[in-house]
Amino acid sequence: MPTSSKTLRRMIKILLAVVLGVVLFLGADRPAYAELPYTTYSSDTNDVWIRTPNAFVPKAVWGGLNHPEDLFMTSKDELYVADAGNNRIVQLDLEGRIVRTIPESTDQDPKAKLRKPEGVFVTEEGVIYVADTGSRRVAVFDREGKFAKELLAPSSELLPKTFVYAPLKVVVDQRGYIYLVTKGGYQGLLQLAPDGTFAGFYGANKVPTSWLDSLKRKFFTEEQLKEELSRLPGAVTNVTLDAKKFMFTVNKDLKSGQLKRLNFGGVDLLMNHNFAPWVKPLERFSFQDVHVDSHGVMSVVETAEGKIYQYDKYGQLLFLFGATSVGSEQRLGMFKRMTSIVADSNGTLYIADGELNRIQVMKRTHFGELVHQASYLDNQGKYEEARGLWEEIHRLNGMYDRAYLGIAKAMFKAGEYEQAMAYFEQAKDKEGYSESYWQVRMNFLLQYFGTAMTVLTIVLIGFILGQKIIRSRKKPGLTDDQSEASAVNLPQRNSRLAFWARMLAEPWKQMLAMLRHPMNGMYDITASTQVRWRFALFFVVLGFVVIIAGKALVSMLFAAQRFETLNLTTEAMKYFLPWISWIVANYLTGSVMRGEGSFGKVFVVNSYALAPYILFILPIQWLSNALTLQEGIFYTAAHYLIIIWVFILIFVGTQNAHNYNLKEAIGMMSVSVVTFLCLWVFGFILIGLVYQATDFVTGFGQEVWLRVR
Amino acid sequence: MFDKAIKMFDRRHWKKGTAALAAILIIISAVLWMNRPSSVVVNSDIYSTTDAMAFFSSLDVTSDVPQVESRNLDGVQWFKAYEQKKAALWFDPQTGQVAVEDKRSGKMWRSNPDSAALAMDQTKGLWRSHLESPIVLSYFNADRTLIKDTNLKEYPTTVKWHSIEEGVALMYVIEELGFQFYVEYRLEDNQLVARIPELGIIETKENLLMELNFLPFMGAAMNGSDGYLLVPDGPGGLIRFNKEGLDLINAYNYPVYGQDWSIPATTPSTRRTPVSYPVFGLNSGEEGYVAVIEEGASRANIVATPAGISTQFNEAHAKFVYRRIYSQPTGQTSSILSYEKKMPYEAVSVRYIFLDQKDADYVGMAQAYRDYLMTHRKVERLDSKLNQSPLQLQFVIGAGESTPLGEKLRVATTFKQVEEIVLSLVDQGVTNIEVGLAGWQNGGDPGNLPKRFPIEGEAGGEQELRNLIAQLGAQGIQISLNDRIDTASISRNNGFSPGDDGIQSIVGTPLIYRNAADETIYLVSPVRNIQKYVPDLIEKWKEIGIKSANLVNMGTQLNSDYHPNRKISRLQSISYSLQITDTVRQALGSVKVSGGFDFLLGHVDHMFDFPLEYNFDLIVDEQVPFYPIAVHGLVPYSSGPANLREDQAVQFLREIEYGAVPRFSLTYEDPRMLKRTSYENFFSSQYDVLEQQILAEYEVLSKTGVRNSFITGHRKLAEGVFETRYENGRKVRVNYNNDPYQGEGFTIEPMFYQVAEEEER
Repeated sequence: MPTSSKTLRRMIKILLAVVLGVVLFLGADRPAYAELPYTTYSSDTNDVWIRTPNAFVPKAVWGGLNHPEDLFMTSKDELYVADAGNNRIVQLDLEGRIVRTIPESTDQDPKAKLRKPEGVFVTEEGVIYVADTGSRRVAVFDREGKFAKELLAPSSELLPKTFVYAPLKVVVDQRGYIYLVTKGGYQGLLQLAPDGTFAGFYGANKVPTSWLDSLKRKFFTEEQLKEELSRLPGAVTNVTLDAKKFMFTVNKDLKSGQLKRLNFGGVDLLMNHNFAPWVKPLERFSFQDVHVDSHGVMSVVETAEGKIYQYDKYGQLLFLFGATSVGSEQRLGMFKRMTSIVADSNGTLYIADGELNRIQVMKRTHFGELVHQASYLDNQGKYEEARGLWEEIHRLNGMYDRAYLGIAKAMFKAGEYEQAMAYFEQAKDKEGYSESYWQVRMNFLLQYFGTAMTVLTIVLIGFILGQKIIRSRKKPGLTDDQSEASAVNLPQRNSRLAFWARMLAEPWKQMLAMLRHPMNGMYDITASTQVRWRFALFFVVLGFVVIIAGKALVSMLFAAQRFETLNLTTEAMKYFLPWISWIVANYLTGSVMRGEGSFGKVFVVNSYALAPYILFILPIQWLSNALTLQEGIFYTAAHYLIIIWVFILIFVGTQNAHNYNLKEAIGMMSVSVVTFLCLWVFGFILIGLVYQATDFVTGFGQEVWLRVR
Repeated sequence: MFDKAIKMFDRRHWKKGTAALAAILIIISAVLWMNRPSSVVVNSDIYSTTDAMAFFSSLDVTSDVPQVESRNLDGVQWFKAYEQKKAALWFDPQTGQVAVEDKRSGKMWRSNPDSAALAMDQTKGLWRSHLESPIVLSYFNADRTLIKDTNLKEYPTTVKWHSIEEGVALMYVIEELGFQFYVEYRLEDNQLVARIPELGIIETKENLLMELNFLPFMGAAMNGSDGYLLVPDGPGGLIRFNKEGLDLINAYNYPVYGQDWSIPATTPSTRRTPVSYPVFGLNSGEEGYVAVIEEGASRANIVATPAGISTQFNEAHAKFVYRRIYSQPTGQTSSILSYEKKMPYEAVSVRYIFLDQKDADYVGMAQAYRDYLMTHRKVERLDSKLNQSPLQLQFVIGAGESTPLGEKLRVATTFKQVEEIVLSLVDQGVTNIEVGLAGWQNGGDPGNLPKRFPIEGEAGGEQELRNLIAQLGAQGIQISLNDRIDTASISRNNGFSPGDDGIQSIVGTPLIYRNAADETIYLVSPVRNIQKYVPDLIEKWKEIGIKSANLVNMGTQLNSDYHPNRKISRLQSISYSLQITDTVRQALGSVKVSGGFDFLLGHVDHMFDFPLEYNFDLIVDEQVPFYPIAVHGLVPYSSGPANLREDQAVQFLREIEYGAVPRFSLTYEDPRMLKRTSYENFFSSQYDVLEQQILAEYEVLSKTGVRNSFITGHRKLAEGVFETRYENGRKVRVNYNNDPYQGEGFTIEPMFYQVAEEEER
């Protein structure tokens, strides 16, 4: 029950914190010479954060703008800014100097006047499309900056009546078709033909439905359905074209597919990739804009935390940096509301901050360049070329797991499987490790299979022959031996030792018997007069030790969690709590439903029932080291088998303990399960109440203490 | 049940029972007595309001017209209070403003702008009256609903004065608000020292003084010239006059010596290098001054405002914080805003050192500050025994990692390996080095702090350490032990109890922080440190034979302590820190620290994590090596480890330009093994990987390093090209651009340096 233990763990942590009573502040335990307001992070293949040297450092900041809402960088490194507050588009050079404004300040054409333009796009020919949001139109300017035409709201019966035509962002594809992000546009991008006529919607998101929704749809009446809030798909909030003119959309309020790369059919080529798997359900997290460079590197700005994310072509996180502007500190590298991001041909990033009215320029560092370059080569499959770069990166940052991954891939391609395996392990990459291990194992088998088989055959033949010889030798003197054997008495041993040995061995013998013949075994156990609860307890605790040992032994491929990150208390709770509550539920139900089992019997029976798990889990975990990922089915099958076996034993054990027949047993088991669930619900409520009570008491106590002092 | 109890009272069992009971009680009380917390009461509140009232009533101030030489400035009579060879102190008894006359140039450094300048300023309202007041303050009103700003002009203020030795003292009384300030203005060596003594502030009504801006417009200048304000941001930062893009910035306003964590801040903190020295300056384009906060630095903020933000004047000043608002938690999730009640009776004073034209740039300011340090703080020059500063090599011995089965120790370098590495370097010619060892304690870092001994056995234990000291000593290489003398881990058997020995914050809970490995770390109260831990520690160090200790964190944070038994302010914390450093230095011979706090100058033999980079504030136009220039030749300094530089190329050149000694943090093993310890940010530290870089930087140090010379000049040759000049004539130039720089008779390669001696160009 992972969620319950997590909340439990957290509650206990809070309890402890209350007891300790501490005041926290951000660690001063780091070199004080570092001074950028942010540190850069990356993630390894397991989505664990690792610190890296900075990939981007602030270079400059440009002001003189008022609510810059969009940026556009042409292939010739011309930067266009949608300066919404000043009702204009500004073209800047890479030093931040104004080249021209659109419309020109001298332009008298009333149609050229813009009102709060929030989007800008420039085609290869230099035609400028402006999403003139305030005027509810798209204004088109020619290369010289003169007003050419405007595209007003298209009319079509396919457009819903409630549709609001307020263009926020605009892109134009190679055919001249215009795609608009509109306010509240949950239908996707609005597509217009070059002449401005409606051409459909494109790239809409799907509404994720839960099973609860399907249930509602099945059973609710028309009126009730109308009452439900309409579930709208996440809106498309921004759109960008990459160097190859593929369309990228930025989507809001989605758990995955926050960025989509759309082909002409509107299909997401990134396959609904989850770009932020670490985000918890109620956390605020929304991408605002994306820029994709010629290598497919996606630079995204996220507004809730003021951070910039960079992903490679496949959506793997490369870098994460940035900080929110806090209090009155105004520093480079701090943002308040990032509205747009673009990059020039050198990889320098330009980020517009709509709240602080500025554009920050961030230059790529040597480390950043190395990682981008190596990642690009890797994505193209040029592992050998990338290897040198990854080794350099590893020299600069020994913690950067992706470097190990890059080197491992190169080694794999070069046939160095042993080393590749070690490096994949360092990079915690399961697929790679599995693949190289397969190769290593195959080589091992190829090398030793022949010899092994020969030896085995010889031994087998020898054994069979040996058996035959012994049997033939035995036949004549059989009766002599038998009579001799029966006359000999067993020598008198130390009776006390034998007694103790028998005492200790007996429960094990019972257990083994139970494993072989569940029905009879269980009967014997329940029928025995002594309730061997001490042994049962010992056995269960042994089980816990064995499980933890198993987690340490298991192959990296099948480990759910790294051993170092295990929390013993949580594991103990995950193991003991369900088991104890099951026993209690079982016993209580049994005592109500005319069962004859005492608590001790129920306890013992359920402990013995865990035997298959406890006895076999360790060998299975150990043997998992010999499997590759594809053979994982054996591992999971073995686990399922054992679990089913345990359930059967529990069922049989319960039946015997309470002395039911089959029908009674089934009924009682179902009721036990319900009781068990009820116990857990009750437990949660109790913990919540206790937490509230302690909070009150400690708060009260603190108040009193402070006033008394 | 009851019969058992009755049995106990049966006479036969009495003797046995009571004897046993008595024995138990005696043992228990003996144990409790022996382990009683040795509570020492340190009372820092020596003064009270009555003392201050008495002080004020004892002053014989007057409102009469002074009977001294006077002159007319803008239609107002100013009076000369005191005169020295180069400067004269003038004051206006009506407004309470003061001015210092530079007798050679005739320049009047006025505490507030003259009427001509004021006429040009369009500012209205409160700020307009601020401009005419030598003190601007903020106070908490009687209802405790609002914090208001005011000055000596908003409400009718009575100014009284009396002559004091070397100057004049002015008493400012704001009757309506109930504030009275007593300020002494003196001239010392032609420098203005403005001081408010301990008892110099009283509050006669319910209003509480929160912050006091002292002489906020001293020498303030309007735009027009190419002057600048100097702020102590990192190594030093310049805020140039005629600043544009004012929509992007707020005034510079940061606390000296960083935040006091004992008072939880109401805004979240960010990552920045704290202000390490209480200095600010102003260059008007012609003359200038540099000001040092002599007293009260630990409760001061440096504030600098370019023209156009609040007024049309560029100004820099010290702001003293007397009371703060903080958030007092009242439950798990709730808290209320509270404020410090008591008025701290600490003296504050600022010394203004006026500079004439040729010395008014940041280099001149730095040299003036250096003179101040040598004259008034008795900081001495480095002895000339050593020609070259030793390269600093630090080794991480061990660190603790928390696993499900308890703390696991990771040994990254054993003592034997340290020896191996150092001797291998010596063989390659790297002989002038100093070695530091971190994480040598029992359990590594943080291990069982403050229980440090026995020395970690897995790294070799005490025996190996002694061997190492002997071996390296034979080579003339000094070893120092790094120690976090102010921290304690949460380990259970370390003899540390947060209630007895830890620093307590104002909200009543022990002060803690989280280290890089997310482990909880306590801070040890300086008072308890001196009483309980430091003496034994020093003894043990002496016994091992160590000749130097590196007191990490001594110069990177400064906290007060609100524990009721040993309440100390930051000022007192400084004296405890100095006490510890001095004791260690006296006992062992040498002491090093990390952090560049200026009060440590003269008390330490090396400063690590010296500020060499500014904080990327938008208001700061460029960074200048003010602090390095002032301090070079007085103490050797290094910034962060070279292997952990965030931008290798740039920071390598910066260390050369600013005269810093390179420093490496090394391990024998791959730093990956430290990934889950407090050293998790060590991206690169393995000796094998860094060997070449060490050799290269050693060579660069031998070529560019100048240990005992003062820096006499620093200038920009071109954009991204700088030159640093030393007393001995050496010139070190660096080029941060990607293209070579062609100077007169020399070339600097891109991203490289160039050295020229006296005779050369």
